[in-house]
Amino acid sequence: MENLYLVTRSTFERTAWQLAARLAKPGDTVCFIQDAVLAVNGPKELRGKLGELESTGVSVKYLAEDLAARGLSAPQEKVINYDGFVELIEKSKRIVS
Amino acid sequence: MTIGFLLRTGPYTSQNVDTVYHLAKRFLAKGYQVRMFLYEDGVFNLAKEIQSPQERNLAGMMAELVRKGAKIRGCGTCAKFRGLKMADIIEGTKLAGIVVFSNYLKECDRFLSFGF
Amino acid sequence: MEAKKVMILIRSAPYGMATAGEGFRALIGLASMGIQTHVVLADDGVLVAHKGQAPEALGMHKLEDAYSQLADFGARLYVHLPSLTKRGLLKDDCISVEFISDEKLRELIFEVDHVITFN
Repeated sequence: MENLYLVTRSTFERTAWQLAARLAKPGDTVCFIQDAVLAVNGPKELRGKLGELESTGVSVKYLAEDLAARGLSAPQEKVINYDGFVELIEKSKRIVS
Repeated sequence: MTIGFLLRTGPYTSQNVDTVYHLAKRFLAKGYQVRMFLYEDGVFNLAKEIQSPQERNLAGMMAELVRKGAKIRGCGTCAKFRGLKMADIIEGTKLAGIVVFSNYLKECDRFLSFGF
Repeated sequence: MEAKKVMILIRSAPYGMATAGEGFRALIGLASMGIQTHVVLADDGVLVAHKGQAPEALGMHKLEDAYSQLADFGARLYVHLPSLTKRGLLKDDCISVEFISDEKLRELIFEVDHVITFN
């Protein structure tokens, strides 16, 4: 595991996700937490970019507790709970938020 | 493993302090060391007079982390700028300078920042 | 305890939020305590390097001058060029900094032990 890019703010209101999308490389993970779990619904530009990243070997994750709090869901294989989040942090060399 | 956090937001303002708490609690349960430096409005998470009827008590949650072994320090200059004094903060925590932040960075294997 | 290499990533414009100013106070402290400090201005943070700031009427300190002193503390200052370009600014609009691409920023991230974000 290399670097973990952590996105916390709404992907509709803010553009913070774009830097993560530009920098993430195969082996890295982009993880959406807090309001950033809105990323499951877009915007469209983000969905396209995440698709491209995943096809190159970047892992994309959403925090289960933050999705559930907002009544949102994501494909099972992309959802991690807090225990998984803790493991992800352990495995990542650096965390970039 | 030692895990560090920089928390820059105050209580009852953003989810940051909750995210940090839920992570820190799990790291401590695994036997890891936890270090936390509270910066800017983050220092208010240590206000011992926080009362939160019917709601989670964030200062209480910070105190729980301290009891479980976390080292939590608030930026002294930030506290001064906000009128928060040493006597106002929860037991087991302290106000400190950037030197402590610097030492935490040296000690930690992983470091997470939470801001705006 | 060994000295570490740290990247301070400033992602907020000056004056509207205290972020760039408070980030400066932290990074100067770290740099003077022997931590190898790489300061990267990205997203709206590139405005910190914009020449000709005049916040005196706001009663605030000029961050352009503060960040100009970084080299004196042994810290290096970089501007993420794609962020600058996106905001309609040119290299000539900036104080003395090193301009970096996505690729170079990624390499720099791999060189440091921790990335501390001020967003």
